[in-house]
Amino acid sequence: MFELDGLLMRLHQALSNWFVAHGVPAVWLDILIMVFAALVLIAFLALSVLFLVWWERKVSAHIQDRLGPMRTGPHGILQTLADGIKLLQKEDIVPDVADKKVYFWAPVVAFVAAYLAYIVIPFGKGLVARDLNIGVVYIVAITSFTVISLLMAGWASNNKYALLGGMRSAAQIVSYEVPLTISLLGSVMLAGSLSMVDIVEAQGPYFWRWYCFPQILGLGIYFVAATAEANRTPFDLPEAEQELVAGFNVEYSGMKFAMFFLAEFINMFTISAIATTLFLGGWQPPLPGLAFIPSWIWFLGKTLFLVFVLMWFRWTYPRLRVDQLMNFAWKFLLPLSFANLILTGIGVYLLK
Amino acid sequence: MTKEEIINRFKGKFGSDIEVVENNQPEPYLYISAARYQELCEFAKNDPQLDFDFLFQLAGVHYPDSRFEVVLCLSSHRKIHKAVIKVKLDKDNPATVSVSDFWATSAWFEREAMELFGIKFANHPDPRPLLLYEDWDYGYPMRKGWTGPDFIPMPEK
Amino acid sequence: MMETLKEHLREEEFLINMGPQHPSTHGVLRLVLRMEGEFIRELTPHVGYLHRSIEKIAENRTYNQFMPYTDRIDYCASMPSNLAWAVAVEKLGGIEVPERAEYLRVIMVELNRIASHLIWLGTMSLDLGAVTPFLYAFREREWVLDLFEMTCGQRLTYHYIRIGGVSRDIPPEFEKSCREFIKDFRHKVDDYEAILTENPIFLGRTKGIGILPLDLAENLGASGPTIRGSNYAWDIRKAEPYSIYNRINFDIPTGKNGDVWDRYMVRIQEFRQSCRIIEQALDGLPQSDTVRSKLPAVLRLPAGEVFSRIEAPRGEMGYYIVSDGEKKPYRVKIRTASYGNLQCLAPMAIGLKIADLVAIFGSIDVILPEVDR
Repeated sequence: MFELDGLLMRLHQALSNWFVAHGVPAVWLDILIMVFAALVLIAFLALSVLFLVWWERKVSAHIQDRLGPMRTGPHGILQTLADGIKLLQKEDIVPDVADKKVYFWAPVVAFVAAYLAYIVIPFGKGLVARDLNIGVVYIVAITSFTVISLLMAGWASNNKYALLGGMRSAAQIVSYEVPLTISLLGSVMLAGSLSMVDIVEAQGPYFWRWYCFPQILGLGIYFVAATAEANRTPFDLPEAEQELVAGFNVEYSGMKFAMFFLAEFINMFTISAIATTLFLGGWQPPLPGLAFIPSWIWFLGKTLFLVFVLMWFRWTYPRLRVDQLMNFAWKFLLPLSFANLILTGIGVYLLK
Repeated sequence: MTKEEIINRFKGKFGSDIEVVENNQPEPYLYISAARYQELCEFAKNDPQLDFDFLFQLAGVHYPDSRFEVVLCLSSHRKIHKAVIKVKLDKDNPATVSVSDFWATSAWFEREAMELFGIKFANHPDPRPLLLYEDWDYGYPMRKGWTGPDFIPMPEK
Repeated sequence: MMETLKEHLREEEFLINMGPQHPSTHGVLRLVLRMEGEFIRELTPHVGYLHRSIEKIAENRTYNQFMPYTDRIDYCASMPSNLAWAVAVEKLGGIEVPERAEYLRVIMVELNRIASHLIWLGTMSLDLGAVTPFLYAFREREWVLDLFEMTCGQRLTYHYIRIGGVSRDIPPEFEKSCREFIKDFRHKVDDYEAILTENPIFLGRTKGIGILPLDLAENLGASGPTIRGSNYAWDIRKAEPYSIYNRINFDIPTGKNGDVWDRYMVRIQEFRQSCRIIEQALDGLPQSDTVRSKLPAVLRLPAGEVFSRIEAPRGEMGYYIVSDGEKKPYRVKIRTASYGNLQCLAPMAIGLKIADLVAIFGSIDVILPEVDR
């Protein structure tokens, strides 16, 4: 019952007879499958955010020696739903002097950018919305979209603090993209392909073939850079409340604020999913004998573990100052990622 | 240095301008004439034997019949002794010199005394009110017999 | 080349206002910063938002009636505030305090020092972004507050130390609970150190930041951990011992460079020293029935003046009292630790960034009600 492997393929095959029988052109079937995949992804994202927000509160609570939400539903499971309903019914305050169009579209761009990355992520064997053969490049390109939404939000609020916060966030994200991209290239070289599906399949049936072992440096660099990309502590100075203001989203309220919030959690899941795919073997079980557990459960398990590590970081470490953050990216991570790339290149050449 | 030694050291330099307050406190309490106040503060700070490098507090006191007083509580970190220097100021027009050249911390104490008592400190680096708000114009609250617009005195029992 | 570049780039200075409300329980302090880009060029604190004219009130209350007001001067360290007033009045009036009361006073003051430093630890790490130590610190503080509630019924403003002694004896279960707390607390301090002290991010935010040279500290009236961080072992409990501190062995922790990290380490060590003091005081607690000397209901002090001070958690707190022989003091001047410590903020923060300012402000542990009175 849980065997979802190759879902889209099977759906396609099952429906193609009906389509041929009724003389509808095949292209409509493709469109139908695409729309179906998109809707499933949105549903999955909604559910995952529901879960992740509750989980973050529980993880933070237990790290801080307290209980977290306990009353809304058993162990507070319905807390996110309650928060969502609350945010929905809040008054949507738009500052008079704000740039209305840009102000409206900034959260939309943030959400769309976060969502589009899911198209190439293989959730299981054959469970990928679209297997682009330039998957990695696509992912890196899409995650850069978030910079646009930050700058739009900071600018449109017409508030010098929001602008400062937005610019700082943008600078941080742009700086950390470079080591992030370069660290991914190590896995790409080992797999010999940019397609996400190929990279997962190249990480063999055994866990020692996973790329986290030869690419331990790459995994480390990627994870640190991705934490900075997602604006999570220790890199969340641009949105720190203890500093001057809450950053670029200070003028947003209600559902628009919820969109930014959603986008942050979706991003968290995205970066963990990418790390799982490129370094931890994606949906592959550690040993072939364990393949009876469906592949998507393996994928989710590994990804959620990495999300837990991200949350663990947030509630343990103090935050870096902006200039320390930039120093760290340019003077430390970037040379390290170059070194990783060169070593991987030499290794691949020698072992072929 | 003991209480006697400190008193003698001050008396050695200032002679009759010093008036000792007789009490059984372990620190010396000395009055200095207003004219030599600044000189005494400089001496207290710079003299190697007295070495009063720490101004603990500077207070204003109002005696309505006779005078205002500025009271300095000094202490020394190295010599570990204390002294209290008092200076009498005119009761209608209290004015003296700021000692923030010697102890920078006196800046805030003097600002407080200025706004609460109305004592003027010449050469003060930053004579703005410290505690009261900007549009305060109800007089000098810490003076004895002050009444303000909402001031209700405690009933005598 | 940089000089000519600076000439051509038009840089503007702008004013930023921080406060009067702060996200981190520092109190109502308004800081006006003149910024050039990220750097602070000038810092002006505006205080007085919490001025309650306590000194004027003191002239209209008897000596005993004024004691609850001292709680509120620094509500995070209420026992030492009570003690400062009691010591001053007892010095002027030549009042003896029974020995059991002295030991109890020391125990309560040191417990309150621990509680106050726990607030400091929580809020400082919260300012720097590490949220978890805040929750841990307040978990420990709950135990201390339970001990206080056991003793005097209050959790924040105790009014326990009275003129001539303490208000009541400790209940029998206090000692056991206190000893358990001390034993557990030593491990907890190691936990706090494990999260923060050697953490590279924490070090990057605190080492070398906000250096306060010793002569500047003395000149500006800094006291307590602020001056001890600048490598000078000055503690009123050792320099001019009051109560029974001359019978207790403890060390004075100091820092080497006077930066934020040193002040942090000084207070962490003070946790451990306070534990030592409390244990010695509990061991030496004499059995007795009197915890307060017999005084007239309305106390009259002989005419005269007194100047006394004690070591409160934030620094030196003291009183200058003028008495004219009546039942109410003629003039009371309160000098609190944060008054001097706050004056050190401006020289330390000039030339640094706002993120550093937050760290420095956390490290000097200012409580605004103390400054404004």
